[in-house]
Amino acid sequence: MPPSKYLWQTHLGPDVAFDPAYHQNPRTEIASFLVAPPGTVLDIGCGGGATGRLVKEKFPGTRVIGIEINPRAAEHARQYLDHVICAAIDDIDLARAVPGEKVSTVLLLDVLEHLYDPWRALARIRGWLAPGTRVLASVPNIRNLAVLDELAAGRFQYAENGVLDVTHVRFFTRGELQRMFEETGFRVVNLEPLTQPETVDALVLNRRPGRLDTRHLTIGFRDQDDLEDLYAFQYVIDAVPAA
Amino acid sequence: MSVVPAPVSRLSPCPCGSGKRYKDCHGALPGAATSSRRSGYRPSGPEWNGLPEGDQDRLGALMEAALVHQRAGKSAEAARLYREVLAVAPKTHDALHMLGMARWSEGDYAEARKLIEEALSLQAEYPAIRQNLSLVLSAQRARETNAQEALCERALPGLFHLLRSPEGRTVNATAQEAPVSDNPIVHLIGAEDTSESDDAWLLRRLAVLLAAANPRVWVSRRQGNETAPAGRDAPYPRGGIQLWVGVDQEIAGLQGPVSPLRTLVFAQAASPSRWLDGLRAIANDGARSLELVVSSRAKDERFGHEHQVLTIPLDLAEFRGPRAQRHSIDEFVVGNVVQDGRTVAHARSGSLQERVAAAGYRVDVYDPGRARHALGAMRNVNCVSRRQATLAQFLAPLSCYLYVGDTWWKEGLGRDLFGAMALGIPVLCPRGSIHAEYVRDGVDGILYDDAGGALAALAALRADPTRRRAIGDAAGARARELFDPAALTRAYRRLLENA
Repeated sequence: MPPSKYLWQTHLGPDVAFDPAYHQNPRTEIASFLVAPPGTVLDIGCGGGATGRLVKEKFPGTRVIGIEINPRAAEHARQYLDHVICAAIDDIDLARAVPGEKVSTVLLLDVLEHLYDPWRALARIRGWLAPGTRVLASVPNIRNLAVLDELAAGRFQYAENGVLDVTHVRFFTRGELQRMFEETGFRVVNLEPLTQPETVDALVLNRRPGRLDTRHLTIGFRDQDDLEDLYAFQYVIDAVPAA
Repeated sequence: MSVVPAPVSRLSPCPCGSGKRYKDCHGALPGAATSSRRSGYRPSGPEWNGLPEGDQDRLGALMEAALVHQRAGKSAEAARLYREVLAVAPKTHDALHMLGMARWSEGDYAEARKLIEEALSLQAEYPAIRQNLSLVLSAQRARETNAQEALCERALPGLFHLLRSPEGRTVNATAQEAPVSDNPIVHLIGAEDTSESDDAWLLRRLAVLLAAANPRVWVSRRQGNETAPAGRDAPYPRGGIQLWVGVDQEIAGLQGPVSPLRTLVFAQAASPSRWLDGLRAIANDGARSLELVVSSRAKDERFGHEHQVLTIPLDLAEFRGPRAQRHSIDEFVVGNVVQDGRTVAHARSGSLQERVAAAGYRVDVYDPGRARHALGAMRNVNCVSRRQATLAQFLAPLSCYLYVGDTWWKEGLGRDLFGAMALGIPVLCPRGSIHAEYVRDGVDGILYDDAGGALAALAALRADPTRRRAIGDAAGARARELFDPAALTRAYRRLLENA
C-alpha cells in the first residue's frame, strides 16, 4: 500500500467534498503494532470496520469479531468482518454472545474516551479474557501541547475530531492511562506515544533542553521521553490481563 | 425517519452512522433527487445556485477530474482544472481550498495560504481545512527557518576567530600560558536526562572515560523558572576545565564570568543559530580558551577546520551481540532507526525506509514514530518500540543496516551506524553524511548517493551472502579499531592534558 503523499488525503476526513467512500481511514499506525498474525481478534467499537479490514488484509485468514453500538455502522462493518454484534459493552456477556471463540487479541481503538465509565467497562472486559490475551487500546493524550497552548489562551474548543472531539467525555494523560489499566486488572506491557511532530512543532517558538515556549505558554519537560508526551496526540496501550 | 441533528456540513457522514452523507440520508430534502456518488460533484454551499444544471454538471465533472489528478500527484493538472472552475464560479469553496493544496504541493506557500484563507472567509471552518492551513503555515515557517539557518551556517567556520580571547589562546597555540595548577577541577556540564538521547549518553560516557580525573558532573535543571545545578545549593562551576556537552545548557550566561582555565565544547546536533547563540554565551563567561571537539573531519570542516577530532566514545561492550540471534543466511532483513536519540521534533523523514519497504525487503524499524502511519499496513515491516528493546538488541539480528542521515547539523552521533558496524553488520551510509569517512566504501559498508543508489546497494547485498559476510566482518574489525576501549580512554584523557 503506497504511502499517502498529502496530509490532506489522510486528514480530510468526513468533510471530503468528493468521494465519501474515503471517509473511513484505516488506522495503519495501529496495524504497525501487529507484527505477527494476531489470532482471533475482538474489535470493540469497530465502527464501520475499516481497521478490522486492514488487519485482515495485513494478515489474511485472521478472524475478526466486532462489537459496535451503532446499528448502521455495525451493518457496514458486516461487509468486512466475520461477525459483528450490535450492542453496548455494558449489555454484552461475551461468553454468551460468541460462545466458543478463543480471542487472542482485543482492540479498543478510540473507545474508552467516549465512555462515561471506562473503568467499569475495562473491568468487565478483563473478566472476559483468558490469560495472555493481548489488549491494544488507543486513547487520546490530553497533555498534547496544542491542547495546552489553547487552554493557556482560554480555549478548550471541541471539534469534529481530534483530541477534543465533541463526543469525548474522559481525558487522560500517560500516567492516568497506566493507572486506569492497572486498577482494572491489567498489566501494561508498553505505552507508546503516537506523535504528529509537524503540527505541534509549528507551535513551538523556542526550545532548550528542559524548557520550551509557545505563544501562550512556557512549559518544562524532564527529558526526551517527557518531550515526546507533549508531542503525542494519542497513546497506544499494550496490555495483558494481570495474573 | 426520526429527527437526526444536522452536522456542520451536509456532506459529512450522517450522525446515524450509516456511512452515507447526511444530505443523502436523514438530511435528504423532500422531493430532491438524492445525488449518489456517481452523479457528480455539487458544492455543499450555495455558490452554484443560479447556474444552469448543464453548467453545474460540467463544473462538477471538472472538480472530480481535478481530484483524480491531485490524488495521483499531478498538482499542475489539478490546478489548471480548479482554475477553470473558479473562472466561472469564483466563490467555489472546495475549489479554492483544493487549489490551495495543489499550490502547496508545488511549493507556492504564499498563494496556497491566500487561497485557503479566502475559502475560510467564505464558509464556516471545519477541522480539516484548519489542519491544511496549518500545514501551509508550517511549510512557510520551515522555509524561513531554513533560510535563516543557512545564513548562520555560513558564519560557523569563522566563528571561533570571533570568539577567541584577546590573548589569542587556542588549543594549538604554543604561546606562553597562564600557569595551570597540577590538578585543575574538571567540570562536566550537560542536561539532566535519563533517556537515551545523544546528549545524555555522551555525558554518561564522558563521566566514565574521565573517571580517573574525578570530574564533577553538572546538570541544569528547570525548577519553575529557576535553574539549579546538580546538588542542593551547589555552587556554580568556577574555574577548572569545563567540558560542555552541546551548547544548549542553561547554565551559560547566568551567573557572570566564571573564568575557566579551558573550555571544551563537544559538538552535538544543534542548529547553526543555536551554535552562534550558545558559543557566544559560553565565551561571555570569560573562557580564556574555547575549543571544539568534533566527531569527524567532515564536521570539523563545517566549523573551520581547526578543531579536535575524536570518534564518539562508543562502548563496544554494549554492542557485543550474540550472533546466534541472527536470521538464517537466506533471510535478508534491513534495519533502520528513525528517531535516533534526538528530540522527537527532529525525527527524520521516513521516505527512504518506505521505498525500501515498498520494494519488498523485510525491514525492521526501531523507534518509528511518525513512520508507523506509512509502514503499518505493510506485512514486511516490523516496528520495534525503543521502550521494548535496546538499540543493541534491535541491531543484533539484522542482515544489514541502512543509515539514512540528514542535514549535517541535524545528524546525531551515529550510535546506530557505528553500533551496527561493531556488531559485524554491513552498513549503508549516505556519501554526504558527517560519519561517512569512517565507512570505507565497498570494504566496511557501502556509501550511497541517493535512494536509487541505496536500493541498488541493498539488492547487491541481498544477492551475495558471501560478500555480505566479508563486509560485515570488516566492519566489525574497523569498529574494534576505532572504538578500542583503551585507545578511547587515552584519547579522551589526552584532551584534558592538551593545553
